[in-house]
Amino acid sequence: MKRYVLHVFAYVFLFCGATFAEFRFPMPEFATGYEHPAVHTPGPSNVMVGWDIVVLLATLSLAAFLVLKRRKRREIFLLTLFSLVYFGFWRNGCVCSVGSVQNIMAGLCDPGHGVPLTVLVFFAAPLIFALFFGRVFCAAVCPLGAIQEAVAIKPGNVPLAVEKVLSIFPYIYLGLAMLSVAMGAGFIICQYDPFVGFFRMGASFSMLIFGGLMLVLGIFVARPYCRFLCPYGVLLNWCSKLSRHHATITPTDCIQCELCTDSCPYNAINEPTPEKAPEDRGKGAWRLGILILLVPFIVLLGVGVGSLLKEPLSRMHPTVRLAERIAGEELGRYAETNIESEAFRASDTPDEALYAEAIELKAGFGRGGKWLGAFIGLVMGCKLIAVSILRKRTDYEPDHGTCYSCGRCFKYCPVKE
Amino acid sequence: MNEFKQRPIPGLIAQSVAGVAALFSLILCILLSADFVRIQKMDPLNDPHLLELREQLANSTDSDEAAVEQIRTFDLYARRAFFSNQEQRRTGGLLLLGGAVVCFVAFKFSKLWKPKLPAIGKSETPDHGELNALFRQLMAGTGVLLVVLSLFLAFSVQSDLATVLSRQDEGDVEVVPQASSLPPAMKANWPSLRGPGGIGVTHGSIAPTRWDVETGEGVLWETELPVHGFNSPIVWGNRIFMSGADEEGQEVFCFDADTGKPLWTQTVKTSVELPEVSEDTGFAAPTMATDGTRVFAIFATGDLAAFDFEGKPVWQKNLGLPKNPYGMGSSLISDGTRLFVQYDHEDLQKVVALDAATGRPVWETPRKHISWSSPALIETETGVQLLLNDEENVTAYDPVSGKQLWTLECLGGEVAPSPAYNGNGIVFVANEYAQASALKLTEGSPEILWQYDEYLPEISSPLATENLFFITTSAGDVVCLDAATGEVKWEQEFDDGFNSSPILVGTRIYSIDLEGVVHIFEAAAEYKPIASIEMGEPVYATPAFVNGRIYIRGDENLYCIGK
Amino acid sequence: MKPKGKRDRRDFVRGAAAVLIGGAVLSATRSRSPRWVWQIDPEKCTQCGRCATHCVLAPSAVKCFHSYSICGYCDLCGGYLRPDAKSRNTGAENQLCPTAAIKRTYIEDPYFQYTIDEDLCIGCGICVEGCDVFGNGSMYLQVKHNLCVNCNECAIARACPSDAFERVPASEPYLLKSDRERRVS
Repeated sequence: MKRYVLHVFAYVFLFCGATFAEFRFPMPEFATGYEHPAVHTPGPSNVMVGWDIVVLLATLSLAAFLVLKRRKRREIFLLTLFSLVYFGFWRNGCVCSVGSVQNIMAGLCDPGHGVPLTVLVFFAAPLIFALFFGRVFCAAVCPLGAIQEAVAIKPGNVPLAVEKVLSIFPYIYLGLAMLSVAMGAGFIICQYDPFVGFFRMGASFSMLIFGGLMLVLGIFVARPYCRFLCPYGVLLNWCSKLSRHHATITPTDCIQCELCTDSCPYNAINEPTPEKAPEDRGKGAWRLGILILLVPFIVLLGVGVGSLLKEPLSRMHPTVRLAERIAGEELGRYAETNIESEAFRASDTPDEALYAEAIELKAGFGRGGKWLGAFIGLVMGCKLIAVSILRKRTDYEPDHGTCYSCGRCFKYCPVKE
Repeated sequence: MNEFKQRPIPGLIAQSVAGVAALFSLILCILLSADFVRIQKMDPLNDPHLLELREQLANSTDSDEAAVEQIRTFDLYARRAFFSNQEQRRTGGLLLLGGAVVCFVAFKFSKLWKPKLPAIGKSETPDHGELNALFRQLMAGTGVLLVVLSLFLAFSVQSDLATVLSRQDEGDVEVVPQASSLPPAMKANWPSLRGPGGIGVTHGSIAPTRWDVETGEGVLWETELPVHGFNSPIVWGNRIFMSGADEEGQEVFCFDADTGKPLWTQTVKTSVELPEVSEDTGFAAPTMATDGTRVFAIFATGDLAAFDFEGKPVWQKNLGLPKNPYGMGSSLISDGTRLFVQYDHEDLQKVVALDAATGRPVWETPRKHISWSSPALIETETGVQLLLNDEENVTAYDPVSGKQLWTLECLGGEVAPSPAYNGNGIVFVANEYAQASALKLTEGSPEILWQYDEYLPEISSPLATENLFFITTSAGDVVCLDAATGEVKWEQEFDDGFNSSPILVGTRIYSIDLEGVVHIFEAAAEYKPIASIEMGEPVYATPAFVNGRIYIRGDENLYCIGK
Repeated sequence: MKPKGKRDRRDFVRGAAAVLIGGAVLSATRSRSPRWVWQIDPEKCTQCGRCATHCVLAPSAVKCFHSYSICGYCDLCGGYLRPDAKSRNTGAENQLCPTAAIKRTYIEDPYFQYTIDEDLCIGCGICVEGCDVFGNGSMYLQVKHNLCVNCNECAIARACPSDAFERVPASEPYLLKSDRERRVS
């Protein structure tokens, strides 16, 4: 403190001649020996950062242990509530793994965008755990999953076909979010995070309404965000498909009692394939062949449609929006200027420079739109193929991709160890 | 332990608790939303009643006690409302959270006592094939929906930017010489250094040839200048504008052209440190310019300010502190819509065009060399060109786009003189330590007709009539050259050198030397003196000629010669 | 139990996935930074007032800062008094601040010290504009880091029309005007 004041005085004394010319009013010399107070600059709360990583790894390990060894729904649920309180309400739901995808993408696209260690761990740890133990992160660590798990009181059944079709939306969301980050248009996953507003006890009105609707829906349709929107879930799904030790319904052998069939609100239990083939093998093979041939065309269609989306997609970027606004004002489309256009006009950037930047961004969005279209086309094609391939299954087992390892089915299994 | 054991009564209680909590939360939710909507609409700071009170108070000469009291009361209520509202919202949020927690906990508990029983026997799940068929149909439907949505978006989002840009492109194609001449009003006035276009030619043809400062004969008025400056007067209508600056401050002043009375003085506050300038440049060397509605002044600090004719500030900006061994010397010029600034300094060389009305940059073109000369706007066959001299090149720019039209290396040394133009395709540039060159404008780069290197100008700019070129030097020589060949027509030596640039009025040339002697001679192939008139004080500035009057800025006084 | 071939394939794919994640993480960390926080560049700020309304917190984590070292201690303070104020006192009709968060204390003739009460300040920037236009610009907006929840993408940054929000290292979380001058000198 004292040193700071000395510093300031030294500076004032040394440079008064040089710098005072810049100020309208010279700094007074006080006869009473007054010393001005220091500016209060509290630092960010650093203490918690390391703890976040520790707690994350600990909860992940505990979740894996509970899901694979303890097999008790209630214990898993208690851990879920702990995560909700800690990562959600206590740590305000930020940084979360779902949003960290964007930071990683930003780091990949722009080497100057540093990615802090916390964010890296939040991104990688759940995926690595999923590679070994399935989606234990979704089960008991993710605060977004936890709040939905907590409100799922009367989960109904979504028809399997509808579930599978709706499951392409996380891919679309992921594609859009990655495009937005790659073009520097902002983090839309954070922008439309439905629950962070509750965690912080404050958000924009639209955000709260969206989150509220999501929660009300979550009473009747379990985990609507996780199943039909969560972009990080896409990555977890991929990793979990490869998982070495995934949760199983039965601790030992399935006795085909069929008690567990409707225990899962997520449509994540795969039934054994019927004894007799449901349809003619040849017909199935034909269809599969046609579908495989169809995929390139779906992708091409996606590219075509995506290339048309240059204009609407580019509106995600604030610079493009500003350029359009300025151009619109020039054309007399708006009665008044807005804050953005006023701030721009107050700056010394010529319109042309802004327009040039916007044109370049639009070209980028044009390319990105094609990639996005191709990606969505590919996803739809792969889904069609995946559904058409009949895998041989003899037991009731959780689908490794979509199972959240919530443990609801455990108690339905009469087989005990 | 039987996990499916039923206990109806606690279950029932839990269920009703959950129901009540849910109702409570719902009501809270609605209240909070309603409150939120109400607050969104509220704007106590801009309440019409408060604004009216403030207006009333501002208009009252002495303090209006009643209004003050009312404002204070209003303010108190607004603050109390604001803070109690925040408190309410926070409490509301916590209550809502509490309600929701109770609701969900109770529901979970009620399920504990009445759990969902496993369905016995397989529910009728659709056959695999049927399911797949349904899935494919739904997927196709979703695909179509996505495509339709995309098409709708693609065709509903229109780009104003594309419209503006295509309009600009079309504009470029239609009007190749965008402005073929300067606005006529500019030619009837004296809008910049060396008159319209800054080439030293008056469009009127009469000016007094006889006056006497000592007796006051032929002098309409004279008036003292408040602040020193080397810049020249500019005139529009019946107003004269000049600037002045020293270490104390920067000023712009306006005089009545008929009476010489000062109409207004405005100070231009600086936001930067004062730069080092040489004594013969000072802080206000650049001459002002006007576009007919506003006047513009630039100072050695890089402060550029615009005022309307009544002296009201329109805009002001700093172009960056000029680093320059002498100080900022280049004068301003305007083509009626844009203001051009030649900003060639040690570490930054550029020419910028600013929107005269707002001061926003229209274009900016980087340059390479330092310079103290001023821009000129010449009317050529292909349109108006903006001509700039620097210590190596003469360069022409398109005033509309800022695109470089041509550049030619034919200057050298520390160049202060500006270009001259004979109105008929020949540009004339000259500088001491280099040479004088006559450049014939062609489609591409101009062709050098001839060069001459005997008597060369250091500060004053050369002057061109249709067939003759004139140079006035710092040593007091005046040379007349043939425009087509460069042949020396005549040379004349005067006692004192020239800083002020010669001006052509009809068939006569007016040139003022450093001692303040106005030399008037015929612009002819032979030297024909008409008069030499003493002003009685040194003159550095170039005079202004409007409506048969001459305005001369002396070291200390401003004179109006004429009737 | 699964056939052995299938197991091997699965292990291989899993290994590949792990390498992929690791690769993504590594390439994303080419320039790993300790930790970023959001801050306002006072030079770019145009005092549009959105800091008060767009923060996820209510009231906003953005507060007015006052660098006393560059303050003129004016009696007629542009940040404290309304331009049309009739007298220089603490009356509501004279104050610019809508929440009366600026305290005016007498130091010695003719100097007054202006202190910001951060509990009352809502970060609207009205005083900042006043001080910029009429004074030395010693008042300016900054994100107060003991309040800021450090969102991954700051909601005010998204709404800021003049691009004044930037990420700064958490070790130097403030862009103080008094510091800047010291650096410039």
